[in-house]
Amino acid sequence: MLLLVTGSVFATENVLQDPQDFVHDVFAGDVPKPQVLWLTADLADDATGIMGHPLQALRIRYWERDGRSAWILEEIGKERPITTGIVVDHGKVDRVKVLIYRETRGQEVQYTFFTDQFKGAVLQSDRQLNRSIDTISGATLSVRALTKLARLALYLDHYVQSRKSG
Amino acid sequence: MSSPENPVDSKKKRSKTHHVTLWHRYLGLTGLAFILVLAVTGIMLNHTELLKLDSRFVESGLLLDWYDIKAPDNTVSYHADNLWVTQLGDQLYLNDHRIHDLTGVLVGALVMEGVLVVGLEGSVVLMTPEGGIIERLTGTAGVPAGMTRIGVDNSGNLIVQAAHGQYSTDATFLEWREYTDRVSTFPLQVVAIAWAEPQAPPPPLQASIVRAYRTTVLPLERIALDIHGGPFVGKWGKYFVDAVGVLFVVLALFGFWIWAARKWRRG
Repeated sequence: MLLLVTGSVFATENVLQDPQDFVHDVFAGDVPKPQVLWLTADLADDATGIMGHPLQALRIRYWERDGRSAWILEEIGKERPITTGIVVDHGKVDRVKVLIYRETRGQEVQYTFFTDQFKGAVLQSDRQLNRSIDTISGATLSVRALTKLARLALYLDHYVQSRKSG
Repeated sequence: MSSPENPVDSKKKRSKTHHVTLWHRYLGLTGLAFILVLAVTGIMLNHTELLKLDSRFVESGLLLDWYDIKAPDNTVSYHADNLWVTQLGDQLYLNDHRIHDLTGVLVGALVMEGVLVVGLEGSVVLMTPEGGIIERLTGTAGVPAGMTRIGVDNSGNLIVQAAHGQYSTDATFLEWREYTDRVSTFPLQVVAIAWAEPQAPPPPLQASIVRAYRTTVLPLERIALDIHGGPFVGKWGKYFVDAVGVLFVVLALFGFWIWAARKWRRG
């Protein structure tokens, strides 16, 4: 684990895994070319519905091969963005990993006892996960952020796979 | 059985109560404005979030001057097509509109095929000319560390000068590679790179940015707090509010005196 401390105490970045290394791991070293998904008005609206606010980007980068996609997404827990890697395999969450944690509280969400809850989760028609994610006392906002990111990744993956299959 | 009160003593006591009543009245009228101000600001401060006092900022030039709010002197601007990207303090502006959610040291800005490319230390931000963020490229996307400037070569590739050399990306900004075009061609050709260079913005734009910056500094909550606590009127303000507090105590004591005297007289 690499700990980077930049600027003041409040600007602490806990880099648990370099995002590029995460993608490298996901595809066992044979990383496909990155692709971008442009957020059309409909996609942006749906993403806003999932996240509860508009996304701060017009396009999202992802890596995909054989129905398995990797996404590096960010959402603010309480005050600062949590960079998270999410892998979706044939419509199911395969892996959720916190890559960079910047909040001063709620670090518990980076541990596998929490992130393993997402494994196998799928998106229901109401764009909620098909299972409830246990919250962690003192980390409610971070739990909520990661849950939203998992839903977003599943939604975007579904869109990408649907587009591929025609 | 109590003896009847001396009429002279009784008159003196009524006169004293009368004086206290008059003082109570005048002090009460004097304190009225302060009570209203303290009550209103107190209620406001109790509901800071609801009233968004911490996220709404003072725009009045007079108030900003009163607080001596100034913009930093270190303006860095880049001119790209007809757009100006400026860093003032820790804030970034596209023309005179603040670009929210972007931080970092500005190292350059240019326009490539209709996309505004803003180079910040550690990231490249792709934007629409209207200010919408297309994508924020960081180390995750392969942006090299230690970026100091950005430019375009004569083939139209984006080039960045980073800590360990020069890197370029394709038109989609998806992949980065070390920039070796200068040595890969034979015979060797001189490849000109047009680096984005800082320029002084036009004075009216500079003034507009400074004005915009000043209106992001002083939250309404600060004003309410300072009025409530006294610092709004200067360093003696809090002692003045202390004096007003003493006035209220005196008023309460006078009020009690008057009430007790009347009750005592009525037996």
